[in-house]
Amino acid sequence: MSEEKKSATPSSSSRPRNPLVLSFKMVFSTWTYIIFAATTAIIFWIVSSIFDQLLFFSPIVIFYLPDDAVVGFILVNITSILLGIVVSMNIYVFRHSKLKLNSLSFLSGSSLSVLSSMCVSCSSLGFFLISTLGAAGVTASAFVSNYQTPLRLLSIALLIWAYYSISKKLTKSCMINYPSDLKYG
Amino acid sequence: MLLFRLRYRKELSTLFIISTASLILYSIQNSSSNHNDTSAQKSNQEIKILSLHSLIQNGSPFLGNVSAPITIIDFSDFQCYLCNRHVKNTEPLLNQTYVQTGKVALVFKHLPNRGLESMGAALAAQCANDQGKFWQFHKLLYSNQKLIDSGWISNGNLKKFASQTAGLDTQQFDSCLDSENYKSFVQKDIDLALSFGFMETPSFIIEYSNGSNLEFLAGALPFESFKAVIDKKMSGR
Repeated sequence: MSEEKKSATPSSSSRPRNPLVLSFKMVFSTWTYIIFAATTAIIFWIVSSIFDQLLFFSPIVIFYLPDDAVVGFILVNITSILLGIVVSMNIYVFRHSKLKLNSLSFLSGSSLSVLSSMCVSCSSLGFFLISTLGAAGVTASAFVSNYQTPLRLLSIALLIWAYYSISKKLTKSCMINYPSDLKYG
Repeated sequence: MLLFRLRYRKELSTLFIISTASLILYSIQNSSSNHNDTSAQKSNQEIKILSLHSLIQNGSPFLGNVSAPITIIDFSDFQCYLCNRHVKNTEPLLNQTYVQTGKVALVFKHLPNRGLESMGAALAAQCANDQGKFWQFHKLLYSNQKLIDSGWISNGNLKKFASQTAGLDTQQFDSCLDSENYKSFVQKDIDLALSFGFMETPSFIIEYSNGSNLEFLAGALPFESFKAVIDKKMSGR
């Protein structure tokens, strides 16, 4: 009997104590957030693939992965998945938590990650920068083109950091009963 | 409170859907900047300029048979990594399937907008074309492509590349490059590209060799995309 009871109520050691795992389970136990994450990831993947000239809709719809684009493609896949998770978690925080996310925490969370990830696509937009900003645009586009892979790695690092910070906020708000008027920066 | 939360959720979801839909539409619109000459009516004079005969006569480098029924005009920059992707992956297939068989002629036009050093490479390539060595020089530059504006196509390096091009008179090349003989020629290519709204490299015009029935393609498209357009033109559709 005591054995049965033991298996029915998981011991504290088997419970996910890691805030990353706990927050992930918390958010993605609902289909809505899985759909939000999948939609964000798929949309970002499509947009990135278009900017990277891997996906074409005209004259025929075709996906094309040449050898020189393999590394970038792998990084885009990682970014898309992370972005989907982070955006979905931010929406969860926004809708469910009593935490008041001030503008700073938004910037340090998904907003910054979205911006940094989209910056990867700037290299393909360089021509538009050139036409509007002249020599400064040329230099900016050259920089983004030359350092495309490090920029992508940076955006992945930012997304991991955003995931970590959101997870911490989410799990803290669950575990501790803070006064309702307390704000988190 | 419950009503507010429900309304709030609805608004958030709507905002999410609208923003993502507009982002994806923007990208698709950006990617499919390919259109035919019905949407960009060109004057007879412009059609004449784009005929294979005129392009060759004006000194544009070309590859293939002068009587090929179809012409592909390639607007590229030697510093552009997507142009390099095209040269490495798509151009050999185009060459083998259509150029060598006499169906297509390939014409090169300069659109040096990737970096501040791009103009020098375009001038040098035209100097190599003077001696009939454009395509060798073109291949050499793309196979040695480095980071944009990192000095890999400085005047000194361009002269080194010229000395590595078999059969090229380096003295003649150096004097041509130093005197910037082809600056106005390259500028005309840029003006032509801009007149079609090309800002991206590589960009292509696929047309009948008399300069009619233009179709525009933008980007380092795979061979299959070119094949679809060329085959459609060959069948007269």
